[in-house]
Amino acid sequence: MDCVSGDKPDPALHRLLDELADDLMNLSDAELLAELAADGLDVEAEAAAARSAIAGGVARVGQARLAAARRAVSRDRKARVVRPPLRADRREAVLTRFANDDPKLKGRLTMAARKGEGVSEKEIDAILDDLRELGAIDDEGNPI
Amino acid sequence: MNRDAFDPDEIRAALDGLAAIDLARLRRTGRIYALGLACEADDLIGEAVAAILSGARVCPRTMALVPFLIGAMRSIASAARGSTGRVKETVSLDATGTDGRLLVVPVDPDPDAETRLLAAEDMSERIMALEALFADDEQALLMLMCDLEFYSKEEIMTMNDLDDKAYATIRRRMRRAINGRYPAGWTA
Repeated sequence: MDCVSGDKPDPALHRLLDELADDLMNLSDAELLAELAADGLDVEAEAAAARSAIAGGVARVGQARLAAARRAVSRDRKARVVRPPLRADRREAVLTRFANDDPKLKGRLTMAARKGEGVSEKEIDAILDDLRELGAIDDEGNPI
Repeated sequence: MNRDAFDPDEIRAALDGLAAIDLARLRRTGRIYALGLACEADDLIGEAVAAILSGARVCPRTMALVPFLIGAMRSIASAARGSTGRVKETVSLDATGTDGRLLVVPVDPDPDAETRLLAAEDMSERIMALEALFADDEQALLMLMCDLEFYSKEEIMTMNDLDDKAYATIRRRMRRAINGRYPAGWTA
């Protein structure tokens, strides 16, 4: 039997296990109780263990829902944060200071200056917002 | 909402209402399906409950909860067998929609080649262990071999000259032997 090359999980034991599970399902409660007793198993202890396993499954779903709710709240809060724009006289200074430490940003500003285009207000806002989101500057533009 | 299926609150209430004997049956069946897996019955039960409550598996109102849970355990065990042998989460509960609603995302069950090779070796060892378990019971051993060759119940009965009652008796003997040899599921 080739269990390796098949695309589906190996079914070797499926049939046997299904037959055995069917047999268990066909047992009457009294037969099952007798079988448990014969194997030295306590039905209440078995039930308690199953309840604990069920509680584990319930908890897993609950935790996932809680985490999903937290992510949604966090997303909502982020979306609602409206930061006041930096004072006009601070914007260029903050940008220049960070450009000195960031070759990529510096290159972008230099290129824009050479072309005589400058950097758009929208782009400056986006860069400053990123710096505030990253915690690099506070709302006044001061380094943190 | 699907009115033909139980909702999560109803499922939770039904789980709370299960009698001790139902729970014991669930666990005993879990042990059967855990055979051949690197997990225990309780892992299968927990995963089946999570799959139902998350909506990954929908329980129709026409179906009793215990058989439905057993069917879910069967599917989970079947997916795990042949991969790593471990019960993986069959659905991911990590994703959320833009409205924050929990999304149920099926986890890709396809194992890589190395994993499948290891699983095949492991399965081979487990089958050998079952053959050893039934070494002194010729009828059970024959039935195991027929299972591994995918013969149908009718074919097995014809080949071994068994009627329904004799067939069921051998099956029960096999199950009792497996339950007795592996009371807490498979331990190599």
